[in-house]
Amino acid sequence: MSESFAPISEPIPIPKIAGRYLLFDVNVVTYLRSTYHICGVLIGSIPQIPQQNVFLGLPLELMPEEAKLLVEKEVAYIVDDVAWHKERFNTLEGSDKKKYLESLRSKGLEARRIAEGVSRKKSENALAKQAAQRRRKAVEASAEDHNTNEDTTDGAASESLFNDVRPASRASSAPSTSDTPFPVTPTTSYSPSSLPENPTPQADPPVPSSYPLFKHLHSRNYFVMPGLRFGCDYNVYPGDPLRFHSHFSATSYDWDEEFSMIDLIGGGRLGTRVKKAFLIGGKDPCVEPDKGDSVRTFCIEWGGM
Amino acid sequence: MTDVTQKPQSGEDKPRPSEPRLTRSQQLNKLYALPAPLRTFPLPTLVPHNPLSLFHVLYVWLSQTIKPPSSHIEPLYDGHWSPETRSVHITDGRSVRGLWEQGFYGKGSLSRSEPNWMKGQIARANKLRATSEELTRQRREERQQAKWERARKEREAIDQKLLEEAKAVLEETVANDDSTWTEEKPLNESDTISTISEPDRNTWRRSLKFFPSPVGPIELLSLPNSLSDLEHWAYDDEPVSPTPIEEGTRHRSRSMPSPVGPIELLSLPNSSSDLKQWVYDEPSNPNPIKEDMGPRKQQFLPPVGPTELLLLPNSSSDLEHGPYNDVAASPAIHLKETPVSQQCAAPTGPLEILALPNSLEDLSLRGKPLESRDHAEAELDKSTNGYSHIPNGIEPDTAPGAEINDKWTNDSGVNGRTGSETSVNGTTADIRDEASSNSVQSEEIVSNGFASTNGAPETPKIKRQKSVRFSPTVEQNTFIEGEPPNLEGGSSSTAASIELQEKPLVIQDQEHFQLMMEEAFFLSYGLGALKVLDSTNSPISNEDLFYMFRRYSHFTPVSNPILSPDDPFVLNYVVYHHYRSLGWCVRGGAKFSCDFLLYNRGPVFSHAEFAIIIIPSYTDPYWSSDVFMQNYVKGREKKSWSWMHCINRVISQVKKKLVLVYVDVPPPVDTDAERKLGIDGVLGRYKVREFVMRRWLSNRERGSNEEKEKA
Repeated sequence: MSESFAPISEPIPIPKIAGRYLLFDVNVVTYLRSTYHICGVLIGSIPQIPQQNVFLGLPLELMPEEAKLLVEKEVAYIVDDVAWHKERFNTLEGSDKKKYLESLRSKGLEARRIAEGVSRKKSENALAKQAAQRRRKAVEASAEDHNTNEDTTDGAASESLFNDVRPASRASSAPSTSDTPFPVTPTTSYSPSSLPENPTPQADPPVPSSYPLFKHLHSRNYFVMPGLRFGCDYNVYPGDPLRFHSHFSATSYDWDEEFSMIDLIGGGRLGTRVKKAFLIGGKDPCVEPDKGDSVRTFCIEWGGM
Repeated sequence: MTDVTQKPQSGEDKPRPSEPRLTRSQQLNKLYALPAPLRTFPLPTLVPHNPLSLFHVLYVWLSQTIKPPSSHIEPLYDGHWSPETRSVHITDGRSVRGLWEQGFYGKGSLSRSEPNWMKGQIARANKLRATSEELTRQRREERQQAKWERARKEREAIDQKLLEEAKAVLEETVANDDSTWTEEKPLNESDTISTISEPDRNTWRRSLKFFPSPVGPIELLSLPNSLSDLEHWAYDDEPVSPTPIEEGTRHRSRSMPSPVGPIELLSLPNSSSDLKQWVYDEPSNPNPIKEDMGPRKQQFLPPVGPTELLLLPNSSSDLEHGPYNDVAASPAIHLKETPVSQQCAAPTGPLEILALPNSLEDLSLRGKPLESRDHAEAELDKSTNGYSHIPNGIEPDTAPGAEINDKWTNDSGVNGRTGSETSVNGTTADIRDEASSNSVQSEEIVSNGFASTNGAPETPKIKRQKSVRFSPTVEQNTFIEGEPPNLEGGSSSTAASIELQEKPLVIQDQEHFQLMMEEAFFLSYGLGALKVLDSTNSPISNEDLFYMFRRYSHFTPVSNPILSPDDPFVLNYVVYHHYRSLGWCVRGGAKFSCDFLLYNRGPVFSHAEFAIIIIPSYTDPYWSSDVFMQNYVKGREKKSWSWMHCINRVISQVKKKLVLVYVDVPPPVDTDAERKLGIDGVLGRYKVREFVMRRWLSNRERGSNEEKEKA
């Protein structure tokens, strides 16, 4: 929390956990999205509304292609989370350990403070509302009964007075401060500052064979998202996916790969149905990698004849 | 070449039941009663209390045991193997209809269409009725039109909304600026007003006062175009800029009347600069427009009729030009104004609309006295207006048009001709078919008719040109000889059709029918109802057919006689045979990117229910025996999840259920053993497993179930 508004310093560590590339910091996520057009997919359940999976939150999972692209651009490096945890946590001693525990405690305290503040405000609001309502009712009742009976108005007034007093006393008793922090489960078992400053160049993350197409599309300033939902490799957006519908559903094939004509029909049909162009592309192995872009792409549209 | 005109229903073997009138579904049931091209001979029902029925049953049973009837259709249907299209072509009409009506629909991927190309051609040639293709096209066009209309309305709504929003924003900014100005005031030290905040507001109000609410064009033009204008105006010295305009405004608002007529509209200034110029120029250069306004107003009557509309000026320049040249150049217009307006009645029908003049030239010509009419028409011929330049009468339906035009001329009393043209129309009815000769003929006839009445050598041509004026409504009408011409549609197309049937119309039947290899093999091997002929017209045996189809199922046909047990034809045929045996109607599913589509009874009755994807399954231990085999199998079985999702989405979009059919591939055997096994043995080694797959979304499915319960 303390570094939440700190500027992002490259290279960014990407923890690799159980074969997935996950990002836990919202600032890193927004930074990558706005600067490098890397969107990823939010996979975390939202604690407030856990019984749905339409809206998801942190962490953000990066496709292997995205991770590799970031590594290639030297924007990020990959941290094997398990290995690093073992290495760091077993050797955590003395002042380091104390510092780590202290940071956990302070986080817990802060969380408690925030939660209490929120709940107090909520209850105050509710009580004030309630009191106002009762008072209004009492006033109405007294106005009605004023001519007929004087005693009842007195009773109503005393009741309203009683009602006003009671919440006030409860509110005063509510803020009982305690020093026990909330238990906090940290997303990483190390603080970011403890990560290696100059990471050793790691082996490239393994990527599917469609990586050249991904890179090609990304280099053309498209936003590329995984396309499993639409039965393709990538959904290609002309701008930020929050603002645009995707224009292409891209599928990558190897240059000499044989595929059935029926797959083309299916892709074209589906793409046309969801108002996208079905795009196929592949890397031409004959073109030298240093002679520009070796990926060629083709769009297939369903022509209603 | 078939001669179809003799019996228009020749495409069908069975006579359609004519009476009593059957519903469409009953007709279909009757037509497609047989699910397969086989005949069955069930025993008659036994009625216990009727002893005669027992005898009947016994008789039938005996006669069938002594002389068993053939369940095959004699003669067999025949098809020709076409290696180029990898299909079996069925060309003769009997086989096409026979197979189509008995559950074999071939490769055609147009949904639910019949082999009715020939009928469509005949219908098109005869123009008897619209073919189904035409109806479909028309429906599509209408739908397209409706969509455009909807899109336009949506667009308009959006524009309206945007406009409102823009207005709201503008008001808001004006209000905001009012407050911000007071804060910014101290910066403007050069302002002449001594106090800072209060007087400023005053200036602002004053500037607002300059702009009266825009009730007229002048006020609108005098409004500021931007905030900077406003600012400029408000802080500038008062006497410099606002006053002249205001003066001008006052002056002009007197001079310019509210735009109630076209002249006033045209004479309105287009911009503020116009306005200024006008105001300043007024004393030195007396405005011609203004001066001429009076007389011109009298000239241009309010446009209540077409004549007046045509007479109206199109632009300001016209206007200026008009009054000066009025007397000299175009006196005819005004001279003839009254007669023309008498001639052109208010347009209450199509005739009158057509009869209306299209331009002033027409008007002037029409307005000429009767004696100069011939001359005028000769001129008309040369002139380029739409009235006279009508494409020549190529359409066979020119004559009715001529009649109508003539009728009009009769009515208007310009040409004192009698209604003798009815005979002309009667004769045109029988020449509707051949387009080219017909047009010539009709021209001649029409010209004769005119020659007899008019006598002038040039008029016939003109008349013919006139006659094609409108086709859409009149085209339908044909007039019989002796019948008075009737515009209301007392048509008698019978005359035309009777005439037509006398002339043989020969259309070559270009439609044929293609069977998939699996279909053809099932018909030949499974049912014995088809004879497949090769290029030399000799029948191919089932054995040969089996191996030939297997070789051709690869894209470049394999010449190698050793065939793998998982070649596409065998896999497909196993599945095809499986579902056919279970009574499904199976068609190719290329259009939905699957292997087969399963219909309950046939595409005529309902949409397909299931879509089949065939996946070879290598469960036999042979296929995992060595590394080479394992790699081979991996390559064959590899399908990505995105592929699966794609297919599933396509299939569920068209409301079918996806069935994954796994075919267990047996280990290969050598050629001799395969020959020994025969087709039955080879096919018997395959097994089929089926899985129905569907996309299931927890939140959506609940909704749909609730809907089902409600319904």
